[in-house]
Amino acid sequence: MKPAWRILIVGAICVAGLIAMVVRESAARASGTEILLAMEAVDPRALLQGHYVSIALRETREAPCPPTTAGPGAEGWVALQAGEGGVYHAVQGAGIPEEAETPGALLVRGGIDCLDNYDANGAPTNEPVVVGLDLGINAFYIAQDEALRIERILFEQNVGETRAYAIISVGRDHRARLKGLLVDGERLELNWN
Amino acid sequence: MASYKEKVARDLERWIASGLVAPDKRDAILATLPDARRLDAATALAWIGGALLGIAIIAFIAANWDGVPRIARFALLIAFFASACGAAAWAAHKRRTLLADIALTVAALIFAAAIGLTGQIFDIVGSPQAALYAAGVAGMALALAGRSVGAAIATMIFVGFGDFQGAEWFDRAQLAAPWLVVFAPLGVVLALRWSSAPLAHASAIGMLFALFWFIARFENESALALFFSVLLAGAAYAARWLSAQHRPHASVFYGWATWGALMFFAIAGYADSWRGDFNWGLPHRVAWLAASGATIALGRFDRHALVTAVGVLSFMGAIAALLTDLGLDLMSAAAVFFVCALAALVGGLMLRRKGKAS
Repeated sequence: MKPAWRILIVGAICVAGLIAMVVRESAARASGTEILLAMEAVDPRALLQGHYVSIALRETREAPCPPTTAGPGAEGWVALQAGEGGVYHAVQGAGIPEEAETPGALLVRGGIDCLDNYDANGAPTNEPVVVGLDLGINAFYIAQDEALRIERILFEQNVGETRAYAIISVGRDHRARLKGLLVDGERLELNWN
Repeated sequence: MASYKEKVARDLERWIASGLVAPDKRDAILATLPDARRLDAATALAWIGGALLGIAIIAFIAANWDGVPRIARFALLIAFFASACGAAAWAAHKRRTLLADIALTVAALIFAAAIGLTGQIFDIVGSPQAALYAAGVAGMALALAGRSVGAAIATMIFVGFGDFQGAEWFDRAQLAAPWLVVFAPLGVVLALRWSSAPLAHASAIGMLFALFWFIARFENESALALFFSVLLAGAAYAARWLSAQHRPHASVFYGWATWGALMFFAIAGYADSWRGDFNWGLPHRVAWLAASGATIALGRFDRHALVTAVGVLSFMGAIAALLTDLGLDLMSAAAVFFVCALAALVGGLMLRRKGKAS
């Protein structure tokens, strides 16, 4: 076969691969179970990073931390249970799915990052804890003005108040895919436009 | 700068004057050498114009990126990649090998960028390591399709970055071996088949990175580093022998294998102490110093710039290591350096006597 044809065939395969990736991910996102997860502001330096919202799936809630036997990285498994207003909360984490599985909860790939508070004698206190989730999602790409507006809202949130949520699709492969954000009741979704 | 043909023409005059070459052979010899390619002003301006147009297009798209619909952004990426591939195919068809090589290298780079930008455009969560490996596989496929040295070198870089991706390199990767273990030897084979010195350099460096990956990945680092050092010293010896037989690019592998042998020997002396285990200490540093000195001598003997440079750098490293080990004890430092200097002088004298005797 002539080199020119070989180059064109390889180029076509590469293009087909890119298109297949987009189609596969879009289909998985559309067919997954939609959930809401609370968001909090991240390091303000992230504002300098351009036209996207830095996402920290984090909520401050009553102690204790959800139990987990895995690290905080996204390679583990997390059971998410629906709460008020359709917002999901982490209830169990583990390194393998069988250990994380909880009746009535949705299983997703990810990790829990949470530290309980202790008093001077080493006894756990009832102070609120911050539960962080790493589902492999850390940014939502939108126009710069919109990204800056959302970052501002995240920083204006008072303790215990949540005005921004990540809309996440959990597919049959248990992977979390970002569908959009819910900010002050306004739904900002990823679309083709 | 004088071209090769001009240098040979000057040498020919000397050889003719000394009677080594017959005067009537001058033209025949020079006719066998191709003229150096010169870029005329019009072509140079065309290249500059093309580059500026490309920058203008990129700047225009970047300025309006927010306003461009996602699907249009994706289409733009594909159009850029397809254009580069089309240009490469056209150049290959017209047998313009250099242009085809450049276009394929650009295509490989665009494809790597396209993977990341597609993820950004459609908010696709994925592993950066997988993205780099995918760029590497595509780059190698393009390189093989059009015999592109540039695309093959870009592949080595993508795969190398993929192997060492992330702060928690190996916790996340859970790989049994780096991909360079496959791609670097493949690069060596292609470098020899295509007779490409740049690819020979890139592949040799890739091999060293692949070995370093194992040192960083597994326990028992000192023994492994020493094993690699011995292995590479053997490879350097073999490449030196092949270089003496005028095998193409053997000299390149000789240089990098020497570099690797010294580097892994240096690492071997520290790897266990980093873990808080056994410290090889002074004997290692002295052996390192001696090996570096021997490498400098070998590099000078073989007139091999890379080997000499490696020896000098390693020598400086060994001295710095020795001084660090001995702290402020300058008397000990003086004694160690005196013994080393004595050994070097005696060794040099013995070599000279042997040379005179033979």
